[in-house]
Formats: sequence, structure tokens, C-alpha cells
Amino acid sequence: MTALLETSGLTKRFGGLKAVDDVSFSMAEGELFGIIGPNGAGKTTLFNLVTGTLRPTFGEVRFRGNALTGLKADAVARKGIVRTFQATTVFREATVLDNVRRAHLLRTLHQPGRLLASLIEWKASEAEAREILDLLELDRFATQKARELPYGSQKLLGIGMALATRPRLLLLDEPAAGLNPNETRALAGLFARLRGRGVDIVLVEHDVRLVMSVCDRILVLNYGQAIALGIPEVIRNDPQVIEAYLGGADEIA
Amino acid sequence: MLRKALLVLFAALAFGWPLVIENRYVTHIGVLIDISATVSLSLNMMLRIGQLSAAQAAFMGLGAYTSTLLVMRLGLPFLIAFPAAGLLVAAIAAVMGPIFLRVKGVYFVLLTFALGEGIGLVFQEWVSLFGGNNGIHGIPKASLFGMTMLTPRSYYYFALALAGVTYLVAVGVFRSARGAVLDSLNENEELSQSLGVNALSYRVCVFAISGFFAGLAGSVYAHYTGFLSPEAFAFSTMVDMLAINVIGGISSPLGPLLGAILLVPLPELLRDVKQYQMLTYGLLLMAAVLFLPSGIAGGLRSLRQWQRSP
Repeated sequence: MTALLETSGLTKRFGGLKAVDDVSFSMAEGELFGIIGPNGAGKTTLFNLVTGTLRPTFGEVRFRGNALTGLKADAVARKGIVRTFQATTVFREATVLDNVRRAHLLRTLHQPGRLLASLIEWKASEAEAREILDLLELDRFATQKARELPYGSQKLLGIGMALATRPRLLLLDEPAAGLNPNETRALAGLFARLRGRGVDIVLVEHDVRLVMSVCDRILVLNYGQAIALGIPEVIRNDPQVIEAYLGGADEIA
Repeated sequence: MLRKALLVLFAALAFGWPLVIENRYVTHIGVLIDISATVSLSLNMMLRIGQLSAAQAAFMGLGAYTSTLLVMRLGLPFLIAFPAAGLLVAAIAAVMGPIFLRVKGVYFVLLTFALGEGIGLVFQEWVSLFGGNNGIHGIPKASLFGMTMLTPRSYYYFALALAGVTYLVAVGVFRSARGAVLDSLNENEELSQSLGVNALSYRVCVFAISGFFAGLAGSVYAHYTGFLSPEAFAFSTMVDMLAINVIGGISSPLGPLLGAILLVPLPELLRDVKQYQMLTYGLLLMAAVLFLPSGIAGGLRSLRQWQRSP
């Protein structure tokens, strides 16, 4: 089976600091892949390297067998890898419906010029957006401005916008941060529905419990290095992982 | 509703008044308003993507000289020289755009300022082609389909049509699907790019469209005045276009239209207080910026919102 996402020797240096240091992993199709690690372990930097937001100092990222090296963020998104951001990022002054609509248009009309396409997509974007709002149970907020939504719903909206680009792989950067237990549970349910739609997920999370319960395999980063990779049971008992969390054994168990 | 009604009134007045008031001088001011409105609208398109282009006056000059030289040196008809002037400027914007539009804010302003000054310098120094500081005299009047436009009134209507088309394009570019993309880019570029849009290509496209209309305005200006000199397209003209946008309001294409109608005749109206002309002009500008921070168009909008709220 070909790997969906693969990195080899991925390294990012900021001056003397190695934010990501020789990280290699391979994620299979259909897998829900988790990335955990203490603060500053390099999780977000790894995301930025995969999505083309940052250029790696060394190493390579391959998506479905093709190298992504050198591609800009928008080109990576068009290949089918779309990310969400840690801080909620939505178009604050636009309505919830328009946020998802815009996401659809930013993908389909990625270049200016196609006059006819822009007319077709303008119509298509509304149907697409409504369907996604239904899926995320955000439809009741459709006409509200994004900034008026509760925090948890704003985060969901961010995921909805990523979905509107019809990604193959979704990179979620701490989607559960700031959510209440109910919302976190709903999020786990959403992951299952997304996989049903053929969207695979890489999850960067602080909520270790969530990661342990939903992910098939987990990569643990510490000081930019991959210190463990495996199924949740293995990770939970890995002495290096326990060490990295500095007596955080309770947290992991 | 108010906006539609205002536009219809606008169009009717703009079309009708020269038929009632038959005064060459007033009509002359009318032509200048049309041309300034067109260039200001071209600047407005750039402002709405968050990039202040300081090259618009130079672009107008480039259109003016291009059209003039095509007619005078190559003997081409105005019907060809006019669109060619727009297309040449658009092409230059399309070539420079990918380099310039990588940077934002003051850096973009500085780059376009340098481009504008560079273009101005070429007009001044390449005497054999552009006539240097003496400029070019005796530019033939424009003729369309065998009819030569001689009167200010004919230029007024031609330039009015150009301003009208520019307005419609400025509205159209920022409407529906494309408008949603451009607004998104302006609001949050990182988020927009993470969703797949090529930001640079959109900006270059707007830059080229904006250059196109600035070039067309220059062509009309050249054949109307019959005389070109580099100073007409210097930085002070650029500042005038910016003032028109700021006072009219930059958030909608209606702004530069209102701004041009108000600001272009102003120096003429202040002619009686000649020694205080610039002072009065400056004070009026300051007052407008202080009391109408989002311009006349923005002021109208708040007035409408204020009326709606009980």
C-alpha cells in the first residue's frame, strides 16, 4: 500500500535551534494519525513544513508518492492537503455561510480569469456550503457573523472551511483546545464521519486523552525529534514518552 | 435602494447638464472630472486589494504618450491607439506585478513610486521621442469612425463613457464570486492561501486591469488637450488622485466618482482667493479627513444606517 503522507529526514532550523530534527514517518491511507508532544516540541512547525508554509532546511515531504518540496502553501492545498490553525481563523466579519462559501471559491477559483467558471462556482458554492454546515451542525448559525459564534463553533467552522476545498487529507492543529467536554466528544464523532467521506486526518493535539481514543497511530515529538511512533497502547507505555512528559504519566494514562 | 437611485440621478445629471449649460469652460472642467474619475477609479481598485499604487499617474502618462506617438509617428488611427494605450500599460503592470506585488504596505508604495518616477524620468530625458520637458505639441484630435471630436462636449461624452465603463468594471471585479475571493485575500491572506488561492495572480490581475484604465484615461487626455508634458503626470497628480479617493471614500467605487466631482472643480472655484488657493485647498482636505474619515461614500452609508436604526 502506498503511503498517503510521508516525510523523510525532515529538518527545520531556526538559527541554532532545530525546531524539527530529522523527522521521518509514514501515514497510510485510511489512518487517523496523531502527533503529540510537550509545548515547543515542534508539532506546529512540522505542520508548517508539510503545508508549505515553511521551507524545510533538509528533508522531503511526499504526498501519495509525489514530492511536495518547494510548493507554496496554496499549491499544497490544491494537491489536497488542507490545514486548520491553532488560533481560530475565520473571516470574522463575514457570515458563517459566507465563510464556507468563500473557502469553496478560494479553492475552485484559485486563479483569476475564468469568467464562466466564476458564475457557475458562485451558484455551486452556496449548495456546497449549506451541505457542510449541515454536516457540522452549524446550519442554525448560517446567517450570523463568524465573530458572533461561540469559540467552539468557530473552531468547527474552521474545519468546515477546510472541508469546502474537498481535501484528501486534513491537518488539524489543536482542534480541541478550548472546547468543553461535550464539544470534544462531538469532535470525535465528526472525525468518524469525515473518514466515512474519505477524508483522512492528521491530528495535532494537547488533549492526550482525545488523541489516545481516536487515533490509529501516534507520533511523539520532543525537542523537535521523533521519540516514539506506534499504536496508542505502545505509546502509553513507552518510557521515553513518559519521561518527556516529566511525570506526566497520569496525564497519558 | 438609495445607492441605485443616486446612481440613476448621477447618470442623468452627468448626461444632461452639458445640453443645458453651453459653456466651454464648464464643459472643460467636466472633461477633467471624467478623466480624473477614471484614474481615481483605477487607483481605487488597487486600494481595495490593500495596495496603494503610487504609479497610477505615471500609468496615465504612459497611456497618453503611447497613444500620441502611435498616432503622430506611426499614423495609426485613434481607434487603434486608444485601446493600445490601455493594453500597453496593462502589459507593463502584468510584467512588473509579479515582482512588485510580493511586497505589501509601504514597500509596495515605494516600489510603485520609484516606477512612476522612473517613467517620468524617461519622458523628460528621452527628448527625441517624448519631447523632454517641452513636451509634445499639436497632438491631433481624436476621431472615431470618420468623425473628428473637436468640441469639449464630444470629449466630455467620450470620457464620461470611459468613466462609466471603468465604474462598472470596478464594481464587477469586486462582486459575487471574484469579490468574495478578493475580500478574503484582503481580510486574511494566510487563511485564504491555506485554502488554495493563488494570491499573487489575483493581485497581478487587478493591477493590470487598473493599469489598463489609467492608460485609456491618458489617451483621452492627450488627444483632448493636444499637448503633453511630463509634469502633468508627476507625483502631485498622484496625490490628487489619492485625495479624490480618500475624500470620496475608498471602500466603494462610488467614492472616487463623488471625490472627483467635488475636488476637480475646487481649485477653479478658489481662483478668486488666488494667494490662499493652496491653503484653502489644504484646509478643506484636512477638514474632510477629520470629519468624514471614511469619505463621502462612507458618510452616506452611516447616514443610511442611522436612519434605519430607530
